[in-house]
Amino acid sequence: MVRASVATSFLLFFSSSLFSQINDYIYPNTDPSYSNYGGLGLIQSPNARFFDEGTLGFSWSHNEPYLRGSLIAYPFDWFEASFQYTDINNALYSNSSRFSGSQSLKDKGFDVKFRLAQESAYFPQIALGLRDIGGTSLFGSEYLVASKRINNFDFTFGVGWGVLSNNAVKNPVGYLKETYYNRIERDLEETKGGDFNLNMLFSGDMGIFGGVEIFIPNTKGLRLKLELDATNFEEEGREPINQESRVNFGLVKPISKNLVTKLSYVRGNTLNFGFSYKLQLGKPKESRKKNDPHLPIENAEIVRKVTAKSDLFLYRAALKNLVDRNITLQYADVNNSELHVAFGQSKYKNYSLAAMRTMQTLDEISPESITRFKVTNMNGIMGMHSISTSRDSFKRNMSRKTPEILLKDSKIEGYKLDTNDFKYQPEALYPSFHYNVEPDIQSQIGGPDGFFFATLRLAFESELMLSKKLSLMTRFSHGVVGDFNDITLASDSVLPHVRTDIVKYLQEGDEFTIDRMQFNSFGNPFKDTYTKMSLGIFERMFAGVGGEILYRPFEKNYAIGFEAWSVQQRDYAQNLQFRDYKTTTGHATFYYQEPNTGILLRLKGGRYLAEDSGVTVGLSRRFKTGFTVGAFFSLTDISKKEFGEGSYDKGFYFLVPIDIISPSYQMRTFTWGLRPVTRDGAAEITHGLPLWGVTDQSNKWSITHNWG
Amino acid sequence: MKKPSLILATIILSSCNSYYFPLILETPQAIIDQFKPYELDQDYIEQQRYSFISAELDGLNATLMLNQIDDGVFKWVGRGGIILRTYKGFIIETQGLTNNVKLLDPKHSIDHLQANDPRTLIYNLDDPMLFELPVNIEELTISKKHFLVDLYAKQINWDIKADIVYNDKGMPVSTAQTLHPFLGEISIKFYYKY
Repeated sequence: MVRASVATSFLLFFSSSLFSQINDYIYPNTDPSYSNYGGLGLIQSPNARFFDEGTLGFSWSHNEPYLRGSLIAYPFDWFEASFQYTDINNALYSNSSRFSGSQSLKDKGFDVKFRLAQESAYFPQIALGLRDIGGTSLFGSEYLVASKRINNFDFTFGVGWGVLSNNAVKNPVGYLKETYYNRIERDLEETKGGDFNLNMLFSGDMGIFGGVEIFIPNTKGLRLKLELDATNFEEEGREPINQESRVNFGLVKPISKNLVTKLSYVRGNTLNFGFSYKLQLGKPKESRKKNDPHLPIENAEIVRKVTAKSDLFLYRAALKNLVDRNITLQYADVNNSELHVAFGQSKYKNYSLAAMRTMQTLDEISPESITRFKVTNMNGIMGMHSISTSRDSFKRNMSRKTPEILLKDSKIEGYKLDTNDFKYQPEALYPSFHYNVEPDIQSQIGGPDGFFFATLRLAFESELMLSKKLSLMTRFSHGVVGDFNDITLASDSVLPHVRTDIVKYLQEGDEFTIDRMQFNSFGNPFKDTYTKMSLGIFERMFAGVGGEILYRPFEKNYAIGFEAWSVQQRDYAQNLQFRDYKTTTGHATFYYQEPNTGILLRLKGGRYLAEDSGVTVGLSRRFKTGFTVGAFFSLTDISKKEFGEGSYDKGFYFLVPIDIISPSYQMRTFTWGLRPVTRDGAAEITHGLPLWGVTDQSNKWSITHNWG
Repeated sequence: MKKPSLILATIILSSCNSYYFPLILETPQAIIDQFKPYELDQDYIEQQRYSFISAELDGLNATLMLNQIDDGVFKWVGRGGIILRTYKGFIIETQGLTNNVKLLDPKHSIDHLQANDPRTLIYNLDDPMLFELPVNIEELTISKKHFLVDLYAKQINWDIKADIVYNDKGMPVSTAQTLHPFLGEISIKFYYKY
């Protein structure tokens, strides 16, 4: 009896397993898809789905009278955050044609969604979301939604408040507090449009929405969406919109794994369409495969015979063969049976890979008498870290592809350079000069004069190394074509115009500009302590003198930094003239890196460029690929009224290592950030080569979190 | 009503950035390089001591060396554990790719195909695993130097094409084949050193 039941379970398990396997081919793309509002959902309604953490998406939809572009990030697989711009073409930007002409209204929105419960065999996935939580809340709504997948049907049912209040029922939250029966209106005069008004959440009528996403077999991911829409078109946006049906339907067609198109019929009278694109940037195995293997040493056996004759030959072989592999040997020493090489490199974003590639070359050229390798990573004259391991362990684990065992066998420690440690010190030739010419696009979006202005510039970037300690970074650019002169908007700020004169900088700097001309001198006076002194033109708007000091213990997850700058505002033309405004700015910063999640907390306090004082709080998450997503806000001693629109400074940013999408290893990072509104409060100086980035390799977590 | 607003679309958040010495800015060129067609130069071909194939799949290129010939089945081995087995130029098994395939009873199946006596082919697929997928012949074109077959797996709506060109000695010189439902087409050129 027992045996029969075990056999039955076994057969059931395997038949269901095989069924799911063939389903993976019949429905090859069952990823969720975006709604018209940017987040994942049905057509108008949200669902409880999320992409994997580390995904970054872009969604575009045209749903008259709205044209919406959204940027959607998943810092965790339980959290979706999206930022969108909506063009509302049934309302004007302002009532004053002198101010904004006939431009249609533009609205910025920020949405979040949190997973409350994960889907299981019998229970749905549940999520809670807030739409358009800052600003004017023209699309403001809150919802609780459940989604359950049954075979090729993904059902969604939810309740919503605010704009999602059609198909209304009495708000149960009102039983707790009577004021919740009515929707509380936002006080935009008080908040200056940039605050969160928590009192209004979950207030007013509650709407019901739901629907299903049906995956059609053998169509490479085509799916049909049907929904009961709870959007209250009387309340949404600026003007009421005619709705003839609450049932919407549409088709979603993936063009590839990441690119998806959609076509829907909504409100019983409107055809809408859109597309979306997503990228998984957080998982190393999803990164582009590299056509960039280690280049084995030719005639390695003969090389080893030569290097066995003297340490000098070994040093010379290491110097040449490492340079051939984009690794610069800076110092070397042979101590008994250990070969110690200090190197610099600007190819590998993954520090452990740089060390492994260095050891691999050393292993191929070293005689048998060398039984240990120690490789020290340098950045300029600063020692960053050392990795030492036995040659046996290295060989064994490289051939077995078991880097995690090699990690256990290796000693990883911080390193402060002592040139007495090295017998061989190749002479570097100074000055050395590196340069690059590249196109540069500057843009400005969302102003009353027009939605998008841009200029194409040609930029010349260079670095002149005058000695191991002193360098000069420069960046010049020249405008090629652009339309910034069409902007008429002037600053309305009551604070010193440290940032809000951006239009003048853009317009008067439309030809040749000096974007940066900064002397840097780095130091490492004590173990775990790094310094930087800088002088010159730091950025488009300010020049001056100042420095940083950073205490970053190698084994710890925290760091403390101090910086102070005496700066003067530059002339709008961005040549060598200055304006009268001078100030001193400085901050103390506490960093905490949570090792398991990769979350970095940055608390910064001090005096800002407009002489306001306060704190900046930053939170970011760095994935194993180096992809980083983060957000920040600042609170200073100026009032919301003094700050102006937005109430206080805030923004978000992404760092995307080029390595993820490149077929060869790259160290460069593409950085993109956005402040919804540029104001003068909480503005910081932007200087090249901040110590936190320069010393990234001087922390154990940075080396081990993506080991292998 | 919204007040006028300005956005700097690109803000360099230097406090979050990493930067290294020396400043080598090679990215634009590297990106452009990705789009260059992949061609093996004559020197490279002549320098090789053993037979090899150059393969292109989903924009990635690889060279695989001939490792073994066993009763007409050629085993080609590349870096990173990639192995292709071919029989008369037809890919009958892959290993080490993100998704792999194996044709069951390959010699018998292909011999029948080339004798214009088509039978149902049986495939195993992996990632996800799918065993004994029947694949039927839709179209077959055979000449002395050219073999073109169009197959179809009805269960999962999968089209398979194999186009093989042979030289005068009957050895395959190039082929383009569908490999797996989740992969693109693979193109192979064969270079013999005997």
